[in-house]
Amino acid sequence: MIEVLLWAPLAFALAAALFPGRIAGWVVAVGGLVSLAMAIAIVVGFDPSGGLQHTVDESWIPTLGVRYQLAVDGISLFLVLLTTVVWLAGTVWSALNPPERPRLYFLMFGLAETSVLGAFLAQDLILFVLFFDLMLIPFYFLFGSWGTEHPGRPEEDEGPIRPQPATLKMFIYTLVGSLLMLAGAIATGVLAADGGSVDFNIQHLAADPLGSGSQYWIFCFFAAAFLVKMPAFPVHGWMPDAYRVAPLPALALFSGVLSKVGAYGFLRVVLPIFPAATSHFQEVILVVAVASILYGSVMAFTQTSARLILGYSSMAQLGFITLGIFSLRADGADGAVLNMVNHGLVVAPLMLIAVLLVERAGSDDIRRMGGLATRAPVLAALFLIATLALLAMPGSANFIGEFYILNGTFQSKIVYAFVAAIGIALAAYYALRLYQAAMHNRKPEGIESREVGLLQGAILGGLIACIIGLALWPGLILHRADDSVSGQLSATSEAPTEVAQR
Amino acid sequence: MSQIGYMVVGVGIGAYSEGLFHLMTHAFFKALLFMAAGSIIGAMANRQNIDLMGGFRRAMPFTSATLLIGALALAAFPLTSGWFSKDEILDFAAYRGGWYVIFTIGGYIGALLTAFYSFRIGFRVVFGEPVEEARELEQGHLHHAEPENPATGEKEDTEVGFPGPSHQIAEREWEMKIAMSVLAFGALFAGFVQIPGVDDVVHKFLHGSFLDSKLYEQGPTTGAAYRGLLIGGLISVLGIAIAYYAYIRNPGWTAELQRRLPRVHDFLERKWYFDEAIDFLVVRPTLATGRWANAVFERYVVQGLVVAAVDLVRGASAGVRGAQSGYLRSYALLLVTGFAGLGLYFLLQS
Repeated sequence: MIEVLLWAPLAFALAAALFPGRIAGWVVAVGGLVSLAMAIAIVVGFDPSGGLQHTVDESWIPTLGVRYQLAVDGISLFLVLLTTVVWLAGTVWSALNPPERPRLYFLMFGLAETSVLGAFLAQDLILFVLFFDLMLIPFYFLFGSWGTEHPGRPEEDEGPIRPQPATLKMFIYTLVGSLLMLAGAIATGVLAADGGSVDFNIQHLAADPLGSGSQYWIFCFFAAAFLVKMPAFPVHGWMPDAYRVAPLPALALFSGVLSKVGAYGFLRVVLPIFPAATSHFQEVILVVAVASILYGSVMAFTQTSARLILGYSSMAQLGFITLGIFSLRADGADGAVLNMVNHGLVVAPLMLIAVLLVERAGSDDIRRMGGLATRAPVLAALFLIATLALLAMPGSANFIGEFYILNGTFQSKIVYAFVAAIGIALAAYYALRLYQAAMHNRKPEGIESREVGLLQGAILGGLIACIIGLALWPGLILHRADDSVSGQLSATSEAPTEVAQR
Repeated sequence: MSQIGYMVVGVGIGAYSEGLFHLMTHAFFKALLFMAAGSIIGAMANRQNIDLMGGFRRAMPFTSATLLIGALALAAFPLTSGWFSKDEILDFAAYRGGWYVIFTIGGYIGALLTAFYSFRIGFRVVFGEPVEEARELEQGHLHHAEPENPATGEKEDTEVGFPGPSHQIAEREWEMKIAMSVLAFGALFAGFVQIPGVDDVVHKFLHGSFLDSKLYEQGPTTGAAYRGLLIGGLISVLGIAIAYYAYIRNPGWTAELQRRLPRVHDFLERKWYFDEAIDFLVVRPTLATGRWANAVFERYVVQGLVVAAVDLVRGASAGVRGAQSGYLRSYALLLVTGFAGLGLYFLLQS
């Protein structure tokens, strides 16, 4: 079942090459539907205290010690479901208005979905790194080939931003981190083998950690990859340009899911395998997380481009998730897992709504939008629910995730929690500012308020229904994630003795 | 806001059931006041300025009656629900004694002001000379003002943006009448569930939530409670009397005061300059940080990092490219030097 889940999107995307362009998108959507069905089946049959389930373990590259190992546990379970849900929504949305060269476009979609699912399911370190790097490539093509030029900010003396240079910047920036991670991963396997046979299985590597010195530098390499992916505060330089040129449906998938793979990587790989380094660098990463929250929020409420508002807000939200993970408490990490799913579910419909806003206003500049709610009550309602979820309004699952995260951080590093809490108020500002500027106030000349179409409304409605459903029952995720999260953290709770001795 | 203050004081000093009782009664009379006010504003085509209102008692009798009922309850006039709930909180503060008496005194001063302001609205809107809207309503037709933006007063272009003039005479709808009647009933009679010495429905109801509390079972004696209620009632009547004097017997008095004490008036009208303070201390620094982050930090530091990396690579590659001169003789020189060096190395090795 897990194999079908993983390979169906790619298989259907390759099969779509045989079909005429007009229905290529629908073929890939069927593949996405198959994956979604598999994911739901796995969620339903999941045993919360069962550890890793649906394991697959095949020999792959015996001479290097790399095996093909997949499994799902409480942490990856809902990230997999999130991926399939969001991808189906994005694929169907794109299939309704297919772009040029549709077969290639949807092939990229399918390849990307398989890679992301692989990253979430992989249990072999090299396999994880492989999928992590692989998922970047379809987005390189999607952003570079199907991206659009963006006028840039004249007040910053920016010229127009073209897709190819922006995508290249993103690609190289992310890849530098990823290649460092590859070096670190290989080093981990080799050093852990200690003369014996090389084994990259994550569980086995976690059972027998390396010495602190090695852990420290390998941690830095892994952190480089994940922090650039999310993106976190100082290394987010690729984000503004890439977010401004990307085609919005692809950006919905990118922002909704790929950023989570970075956070997931921390939780799955770094915390269990490098516990001493995690404790040693905990405060550094907490500073980075808090800086991401504050900087992302501050930037989000001064942008005039809807894409950048959502991009910087993603940075802030991922900052919260990192904060939760590096509080090194079960509460914090539970909240982080919940918020990973929440944020993906929220930012995907917001990006798709941004498509609608751009259609009506002609550009993503919020200064040229206004009063779009006048004749579009359904769109306004859906947009409002997503906005309120983004700002973690009490009543949404995001609030619960943030509460858990801050609770965990209060227990371990109280000052960081105080400063991060400011980010909550700032989130309210930037989220409501976007909504108000787009939907309320006076309508400028030349734009029309139009209701959302039936099919597009159905896609958005489905995603918003997931948000509401999760808000009513966050326990769905929290109860299943708890055991696995405690497992990941158990190593780090023993590690502090090393630091104390220094 | 000020009634919430009473509730918070109540809960803060340990008068839990009294504070929550005031929450309950306040819900009734405040909701009633809002609905009555909304009814009047609707009749005024969405204009809220009470300077433009007056004399609605014959034009909208039901609304006027409910407005006055709500005002009586807010002012804690004897026998209304507000009287019981507000004064029971102040009784408790007096019972606690010591420094808590500050709350009692402050509370009574607040009650005087509350009575005054609730009847400021009551007298100005209900009594007095009917304004145009009220006069026309009495005669059965609506007064149509020029449509304008309620916030800025600019004349409306009904083709764009705000909807046109809307007159709703809400009290004509039976739904409104039922809703307001229910609230009026509550505002008048909800107080009778907690009469000191007679019944204590709220206190008993909440008992289970405060089992661990040391203060819950304490309270003033019935005699002390009635003393407090009497004082509260007198203060309420006094406040209403002052409002009557200011707005009915001697209508120009407040305008005169305003002329005599302009700076005090300004300070109070500008809400103690709180809005300006918040703007200065919170809003402006945050926005300035955002602008700085955008214009300086993002541009020079973050993108600078990227640009520096690119320039480094370009520079290095330009340097290395220098070897590709295209001249055959320099390639030959490089070849010969390389081989000679290699030969020298192996020679030295052996």
